[in-house]
Amino acid sequence: MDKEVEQGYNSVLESLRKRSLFMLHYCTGCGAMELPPTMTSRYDMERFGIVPYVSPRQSDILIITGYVNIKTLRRIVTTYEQMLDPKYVIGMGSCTINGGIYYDSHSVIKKLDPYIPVDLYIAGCMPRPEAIIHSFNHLMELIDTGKADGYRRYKENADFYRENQRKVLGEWR
Amino acid sequence: MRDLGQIIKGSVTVQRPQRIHVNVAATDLLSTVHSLKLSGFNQLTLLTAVDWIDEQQFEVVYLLYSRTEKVVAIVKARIPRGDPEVETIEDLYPNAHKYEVELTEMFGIKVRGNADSGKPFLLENWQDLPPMRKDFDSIKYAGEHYEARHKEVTSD
Repeated sequence: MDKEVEQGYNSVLESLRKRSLFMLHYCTGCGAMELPPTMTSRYDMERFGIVPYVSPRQSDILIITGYVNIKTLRRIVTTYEQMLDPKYVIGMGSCTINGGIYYDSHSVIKKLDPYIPVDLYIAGCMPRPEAIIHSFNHLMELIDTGKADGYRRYKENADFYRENQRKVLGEWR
Repeated sequence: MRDLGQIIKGSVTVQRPQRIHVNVAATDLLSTVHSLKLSGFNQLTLLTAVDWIDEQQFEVVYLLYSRTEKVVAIVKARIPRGDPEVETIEDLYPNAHKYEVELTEMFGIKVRGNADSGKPFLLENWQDLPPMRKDFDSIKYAGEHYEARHKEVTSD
């Protein structure tokens, strides 16, 4: 295919893609409490085309809503690898950014990006539903401009991610 | 409840009408729990330990509840901190099984008679001291094992 045609095709595809995002209904930590008002009639994220979904195979967004300990990280990596391309990760709350109040815990990782690629972080403890809605809109912009390329980074830097996962999880595959 | 002082070998103090403290020697622990179960305390609410590092002792704590009398009995026994061991009570209270597995994992207190004592339960690939001991340095462990985000903090 001609390169220009392919680029145009991709840009059309991405602008269509950003309007139907399925969010994997997977919650860790206390951020889970902020998602019900975001989903339901008060803030109603479905008006942006974002729907919670229960299966990783059909989902596009993985939101990590809070602290991630070793046991959870293992499930997160498995879930992330089960999702199909294109997939986007949102780290929500300060726990995923720098450990938050769990900075000294013996079982909680301090940041998420060495283990899975994160497209977008939402700061706050916890972020309000307005911040989550704002982050969804920002993610749509990133998808539209082709900057939400976490799933490509995960493949290109597979050695880096695999090494970091092995460092905390041990030989687990 | 009135005759509890006679059947128990340790000291019984009544904090409130519905909360009594039972301090026993480690050798009388099992018989105390047995006699409390016989006198109607048929629910194990909690089994845990306290690390008294200055006195080089662990204190195992059993919270037993009597539903008929609505009384909580807090049974405490001190055991030495070096090579600590307690006897299992999972034949009396089946839910003690997981508490005891956790006791071994978090404090390093071995539980005789519990087949799963010493097997990994919550922690995985754990090579360090049991994490609930007072001499375990959690900040140091987290700093060594988990990557931190180094960012300059300004207060502008």
